[in-house]
Amino acid sequence: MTVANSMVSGPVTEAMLPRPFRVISHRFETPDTVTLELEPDDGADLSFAPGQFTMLYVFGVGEVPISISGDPHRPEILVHTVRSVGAVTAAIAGLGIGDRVGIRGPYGVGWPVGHAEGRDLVVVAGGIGLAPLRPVVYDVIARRDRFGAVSIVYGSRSPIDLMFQEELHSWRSRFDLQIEVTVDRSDESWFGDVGVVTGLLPRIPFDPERAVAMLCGPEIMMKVVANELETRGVAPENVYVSVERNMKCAIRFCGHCQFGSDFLCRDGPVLAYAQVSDRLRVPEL
Amino acid sequence: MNLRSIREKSELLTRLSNTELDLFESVSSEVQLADGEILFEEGGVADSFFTIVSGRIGLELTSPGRAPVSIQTLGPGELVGVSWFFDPYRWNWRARALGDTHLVAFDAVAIRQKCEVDRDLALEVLGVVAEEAVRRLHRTRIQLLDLYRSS
Amino acid sequence: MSQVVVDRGDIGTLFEILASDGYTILGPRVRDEAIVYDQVRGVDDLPIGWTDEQEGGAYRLVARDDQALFGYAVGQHSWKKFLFPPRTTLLEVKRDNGSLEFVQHEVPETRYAFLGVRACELAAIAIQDKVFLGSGEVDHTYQTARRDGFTVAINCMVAGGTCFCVSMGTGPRCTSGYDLVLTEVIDSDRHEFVFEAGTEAGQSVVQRLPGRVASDHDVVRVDRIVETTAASMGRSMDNTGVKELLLANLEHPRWDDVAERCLACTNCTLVCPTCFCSTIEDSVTLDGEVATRSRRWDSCFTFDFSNLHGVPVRSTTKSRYRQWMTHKLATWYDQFGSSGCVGCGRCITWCPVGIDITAEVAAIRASQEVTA
Repeated sequence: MTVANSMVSGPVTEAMLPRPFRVISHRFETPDTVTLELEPDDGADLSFAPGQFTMLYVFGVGEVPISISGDPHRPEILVHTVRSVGAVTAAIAGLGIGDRVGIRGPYGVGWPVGHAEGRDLVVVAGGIGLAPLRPVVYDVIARRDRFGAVSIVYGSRSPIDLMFQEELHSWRSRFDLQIEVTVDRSDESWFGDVGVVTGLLPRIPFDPERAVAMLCGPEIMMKVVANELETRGVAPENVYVSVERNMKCAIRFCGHCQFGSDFLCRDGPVLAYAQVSDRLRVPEL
Repeated sequence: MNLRSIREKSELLTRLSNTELDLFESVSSEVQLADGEILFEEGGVADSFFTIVSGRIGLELTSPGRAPVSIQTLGPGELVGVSWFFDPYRWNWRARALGDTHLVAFDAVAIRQKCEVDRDLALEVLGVVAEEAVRRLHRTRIQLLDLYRSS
Repeated sequence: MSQVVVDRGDIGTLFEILASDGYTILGPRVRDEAIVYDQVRGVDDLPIGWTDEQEGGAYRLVARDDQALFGYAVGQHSWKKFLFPPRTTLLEVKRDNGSLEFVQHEVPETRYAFLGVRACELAAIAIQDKVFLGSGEVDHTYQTARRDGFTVAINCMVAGGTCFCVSMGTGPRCTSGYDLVLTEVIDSDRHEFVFEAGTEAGQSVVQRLPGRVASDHDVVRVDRIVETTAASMGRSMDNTGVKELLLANLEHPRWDDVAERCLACTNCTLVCPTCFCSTIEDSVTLDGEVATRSRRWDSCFTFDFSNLHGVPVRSTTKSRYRQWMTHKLATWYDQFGSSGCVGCGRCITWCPVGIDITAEVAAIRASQEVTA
């Protein structure tokens, strides 16, 4: 079959074209998790809202969605915390300073930080889930007077899997927020809490009627914490979770990120628990 | 110690009626532990149980040649001890204070004896203990899922 | 718009006009014992005198007892293969001394005339318009093909064995979305085509066709043909409240039932004219200097479609079948404001085990009425 003429119309869509970014720093947070700082070749800031993600491309290997884990008040540096779980993320973890990647984005609906203004804020993170929530903490600290009681609850697998240890210490030394950290299993070096994050909820101060909670971590963890918060009087409309699914295009074309009616690249990944609790209960939805 | 002042914050005491609270108060005493002090030893006789007022208690397991490892931490308001209600009335874990810890201790033998004759009380106490055991079980199961590991 | 009747002997002029206007004409032709969509240059390329017999899991061509040009329903192709090509290169990445250069791949312009678009297919194209042009990003390949294309629709003279456009409100009469619509009329004493324009572009073609003005009799004849087709649908589906019905029954035992039959072969998604899922693939030249990113059709039935950290969320055939059907008939309403199904019946015909979407809905609905 021949084509009538060979005039060129343009690309399929410009939105699939990445921008080149350069790695300017690289540190291991845990044995399998790395934080990269990236700078754009074209120098244009990547402004983002906490909870948004970019599509990160590694030459010839592929592209994956990664939450932005940096400070939204410092958009000139793009920060990504990546856990090595597959071919692309392993390649990302192996990048060195000066290596280049492609970045598209930011995409998605982020955390409703504005909704939390004037209210108590409860941030609950499990494992790598602290990465998409760290921008919230940065933002809240920068505008601390806008929020009520601020609490952070962080659960990790074991003491060596705790991420952002410097930040954890720095947050713990502040008087204007409370942070509780626990591990699922401890070792001989650990004298902190051992147990699931829900066990820490009784210790943090919040007015359940008006608190806003932001949860990020494995789905089971988010469900258990959301249910516990509901038992304590926090309405599911005020509890937000970040739902994760396969993503290929991030621009609502490829169909992979569907979660019920929602396309997580555009309608999420942050959603109110009230909107998703029914769907999270259906296995393999 | 006047239990009414800590009643609302204690998962155990909040469930008791006023009469029951008076009974518990009559068999109670205060315990203050410094960081690292042992509350009870693994295998010890479970003749008390506790509610934490402030501080934390870590439940530990020891094994020869290894430093003890904490398997669960309990915080303010939580009940320490369920084994005191069931034969053979012995502790399965060691309990150690993490940080300065203030607890109220209750005479388990006395409460058990009262439960023998007052079945309503027995039901109430059993309910509290069972609920706490279920909550622990639930949390432990989630810990066992190893949710944060790489797939 | 005026209606014009063209005799069978003059129908070749349509091809001449479209070709001279610079179109590549795509239409039905016989290949590998099926009627597919490909380039057609003249009347003789069409499946003259053929019809199709379709049932769940069965398709075959049968000779008609007349020489109709369009006496069949639809085959496994749909127009999406031209508007949303199965494989498209998106961009190239050049690696040079550590830096990366991203270069968009330009696609050639297309100027297609679709000849023989059925009412259900017009509906499917309208649905895909919402997907690819509706909001946010725009797919330029799709946009250009649509903008610069010409559509000759057809009012079906036969209903297929698995058709249910009447149930879905999408046919068999073409009502909008075409430049021209034609109805083939064959009687013992005549073989003619009644043309009606739907746009100015269509009108310009109609004016150049050799024919006579349609009479009231012709109009009635067309109505009769459409009515007959409408009355002979192979399937029907009660679409009332189907979104609520399916979303309230996500754990219905019927899903286990269909899962035992479904092979997850992805045929249904390939032939469905509205399915739009795709994936992005990466390749690198042997010397490692240039990488390419391309888009290709994908299917929610594949095992790794829903992979999350290497493990599929939908690991069972059951959950994948449920995803396809609830997307098509239920969540599509929330996403795009209509059903995703146009009642063309392809998924029923081309399923190797004959799974019938209308029967699946009916089974779930019937069980609800019993317990309600």
